[in-house]
Amino acid sequence: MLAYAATPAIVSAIKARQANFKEIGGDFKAVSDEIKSGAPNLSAVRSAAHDLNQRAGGQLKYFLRGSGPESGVTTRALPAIWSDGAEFAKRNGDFVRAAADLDSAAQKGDVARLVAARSALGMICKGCHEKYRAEEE
Amino acid sequence: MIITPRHHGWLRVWDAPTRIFHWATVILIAAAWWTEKQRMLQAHRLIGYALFSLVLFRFAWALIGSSTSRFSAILRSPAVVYNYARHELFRRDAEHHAGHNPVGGWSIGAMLLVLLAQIVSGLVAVDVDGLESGPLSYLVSFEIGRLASRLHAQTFDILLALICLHVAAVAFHMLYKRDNLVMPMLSGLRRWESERPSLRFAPLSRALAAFIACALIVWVLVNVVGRV
Repeated sequence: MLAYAATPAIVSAIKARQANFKEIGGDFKAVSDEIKSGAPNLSAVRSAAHDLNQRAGGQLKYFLRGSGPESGVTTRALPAIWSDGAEFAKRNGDFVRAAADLDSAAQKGDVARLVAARSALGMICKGCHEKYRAEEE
Repeated sequence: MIITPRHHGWLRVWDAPTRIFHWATVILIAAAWWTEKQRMLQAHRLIGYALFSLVLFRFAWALIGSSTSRFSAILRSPAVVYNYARHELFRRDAEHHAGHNPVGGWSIGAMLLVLLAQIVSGLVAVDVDGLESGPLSYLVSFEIGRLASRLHAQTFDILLALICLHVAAVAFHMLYKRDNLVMPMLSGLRRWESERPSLRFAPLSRALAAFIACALIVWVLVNVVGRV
């Protein structure tokens, strides 16, 4: 694969989406940890779910064309993200809706809905990771 | 002096707790590997707790167990290890050891330590999707949990390498030195013609009490402190 010096815009998009995913992972973990406690601290759940929802909506714009492995930057994003862009965008939509659902369940304090929304969102994370993200070395 | 045929030529070297620990660990490591491959993480965690109890017990047994199972018999001084490696390791007529030989002992110590690292990293590991995690992962950040998960994979590779070395060494003893080390780990007895060393064997009740205490510690860590 031809690697070329990535433009600053490409490099910053990759860094931004990676940092954002890490924060999303942290938020998701915070929600999961509270659910697993059996008696979730709802104020902790609300702030994590809200932050996750905000970040989820902003992810797609960081997947610039050219910001895959061909950028030469260390990224596990697979070319399928761009070669099958319509499917990726559809799945991103599922992700954004699931994040909004989690946020809304958290704000209402509906624990049963929160548990279901957390599982649904987790499965969406997993589905995309399997399809669009290279295995860790 | 009357020597009963049953005991003549044989020496008891391994007590039952040490042998049970050994073979249970073999089976459980294989099961832990298999359940992870199948993504049966609930079973994988339960196997981890069983291994945790066993490893804690083995460390306790190295302090209060039979003489051949103690740290003093496992971790010999560098001078003893050097002399063994230099003068005995590759000699077919070298005297047999009642228990670990000085080099083998350190390999046991290394395997136990890496197995402990494997278990501790698993306790706090977090899956990339945040769906699966160890029972103590809520105590660490997402970043640390992910790091623990990577370490969990790396320590397993190290553990596998040490196990291969262990099996190769046993094969070397079997084929080159004509010394079967597998049977003693099954029966507790090994062939012994020369002067008998004085070995002390700890009572089984002590092993049982120690194992129950270790299992209880793990149960509290997982079910009281931990969140599954």
